[in-house]
Amino acid sequence: MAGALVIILSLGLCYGVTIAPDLTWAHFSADGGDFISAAATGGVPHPGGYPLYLLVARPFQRLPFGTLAFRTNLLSAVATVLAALVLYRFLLDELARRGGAGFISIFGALAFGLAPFVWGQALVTEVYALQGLLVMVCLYTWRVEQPWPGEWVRGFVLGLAAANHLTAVLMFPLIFVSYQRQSVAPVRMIVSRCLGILGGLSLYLLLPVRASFNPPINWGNAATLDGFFWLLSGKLYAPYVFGLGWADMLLRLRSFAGLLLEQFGWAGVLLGFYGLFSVPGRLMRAATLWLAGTALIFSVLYGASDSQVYLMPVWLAFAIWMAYGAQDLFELLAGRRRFEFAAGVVLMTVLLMQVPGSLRQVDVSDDFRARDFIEQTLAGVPTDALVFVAGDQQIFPLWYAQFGLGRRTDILIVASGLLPYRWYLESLGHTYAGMHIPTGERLLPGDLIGANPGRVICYISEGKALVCN
Amino acid sequence: MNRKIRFLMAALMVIVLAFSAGSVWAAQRLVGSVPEKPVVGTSAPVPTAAPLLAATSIPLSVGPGIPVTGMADAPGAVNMGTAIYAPMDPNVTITVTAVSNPAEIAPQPEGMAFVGDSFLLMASVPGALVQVCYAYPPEMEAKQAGIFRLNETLTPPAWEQVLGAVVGNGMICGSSTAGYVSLIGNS
Repeated sequence: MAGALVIILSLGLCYGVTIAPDLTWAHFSADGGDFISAAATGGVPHPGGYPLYLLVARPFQRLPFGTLAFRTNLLSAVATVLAALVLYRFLLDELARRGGAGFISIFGALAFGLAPFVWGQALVTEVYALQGLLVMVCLYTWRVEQPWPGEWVRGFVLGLAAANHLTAVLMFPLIFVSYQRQSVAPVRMIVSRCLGILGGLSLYLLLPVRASFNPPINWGNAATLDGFFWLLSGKLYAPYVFGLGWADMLLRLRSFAGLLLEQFGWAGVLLGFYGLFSVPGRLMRAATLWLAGTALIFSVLYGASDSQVYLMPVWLAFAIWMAYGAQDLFELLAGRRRFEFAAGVVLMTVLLMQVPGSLRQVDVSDDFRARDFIEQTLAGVPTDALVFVAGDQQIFPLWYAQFGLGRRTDILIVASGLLPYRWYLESLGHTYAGMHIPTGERLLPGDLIGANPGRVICYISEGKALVCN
Repeated sequence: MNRKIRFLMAALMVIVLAFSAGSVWAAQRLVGSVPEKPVVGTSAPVPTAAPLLAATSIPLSVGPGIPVTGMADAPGAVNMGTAIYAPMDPNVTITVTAVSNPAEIAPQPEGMAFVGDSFLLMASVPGALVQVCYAYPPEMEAKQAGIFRLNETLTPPAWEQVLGAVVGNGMICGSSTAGYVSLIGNS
């Protein structure tokens, strides 16, 4: 109990003083405006839809304080603290057989929660903090002796994780292994877990329901079968998979090495690798390696510029290995209380010495760039203008302002890059009663301008000033 | 494996990592969740004018040269000759100091140069928005100059463009919070 309190207070304090007070672009959260607005308006964000995130975000958005974006950011902070708590509980169980388990479990949980990448994700609106929690819950559930209320729960949490982010399917092979028996799981167990996965995945059925109400953000229009599969398949982003050449992949692997050192420092990385070789159970080593390895491979192969966000399971696995490493060192000192105490002090000191640097690196408590962009843009756009917007950092904040906050409902915001999609044109028609949508496929901005005469036309794109004519 | 071997293997891995570590996360191109803008056909008109300065209701007048006039009468505005700083909230007071060599604070982005004066902006209220206007004659436009603010949270600090800046009437105006501000364009 005291350990859990230490984790809650430490991470709560760190996250509390550095969390973004409003919408932000920091820490790869350019999609934040899409998520916030979709959750707030009953909408459907970009592929793959993220139904669990939408469900969980809504109660946070109803909190009676702060901006809508801040309240949604809060979900990430809470999810990361919970992830650290589950990791703490996991390590307590896993290390219980040997000495120093309580202290080392706190150390492992804090090492995870204070890693700059994890910390950064705890401060912004994105799905990766919640994904970190779900991955940890999956690992914990996979390990426990007898999950309540039944075996299917092990699959159910995997399904839930995949309902938050589809990359969780990389963990599905865990269902074939029984940690308790230390062998391949029996068929009955696998079937039960598969049913659990289906139960978790059934959350995706919420997307057609939400889409059928024609919300302003309605990617793919999942109310239709084609739209539903387009959204789930992530077809839009298919070119990113395996889209990199060998040289770029090598660059990414080198960058990963730098990121790893940045997360845990030299001493931490040494301890982590030492721990990896010291994991007592073969199966636990294989499971954590699988978790980290698949996430690393996916993030290296996926061509998007921000694919390092998929490394969350790597940082989680590494924190676990660090705990194993620390325990092995403690075992070496077994019985020598003073040395044990000194080792504990050294470990915590090394960990805490990183905090000021990380804090400066991740702090977004005074990051108002996205808000400033919104204010400046909304102030500059004339009444009833037709505004063509390009780029995530421009489109999503304006969606947040108009759909999330209800500001400047007179202007018509058009994401230029989505014009070729019929579902988007239908969505525009439902959202803006005064907009005339020409018939036909693959419209260009000029087609829309021609159909809506008399409006001032504005253009907004990344790195360029607002231009109207 | 005994402890010594495990430790040596871990140390070896750290050494390999340290020597191979890089900082570039390569990508196909900078693309996001919304696909890139489709190719604009002939039916799409090209914007011809930039008449906006709606962020301020105070009339602006810009002379033929670099110095900026106007808006200096705005409550709490500071006229630095080549740029004017005006807090959006009249209750906020600001102090603006010219910086003689901004490159010493942080180098300009690659391929770009400081094309206007640089200033240190301080505000009485943290996070307060201040409108920054620089003179923007055609030669600045040719250099695609933009207002940049120093992001001191980065290591090392780096100049970042103030997004949403508005061009019009021979000026470029954007809003910024306190910090180092400069006009940077293609060299």
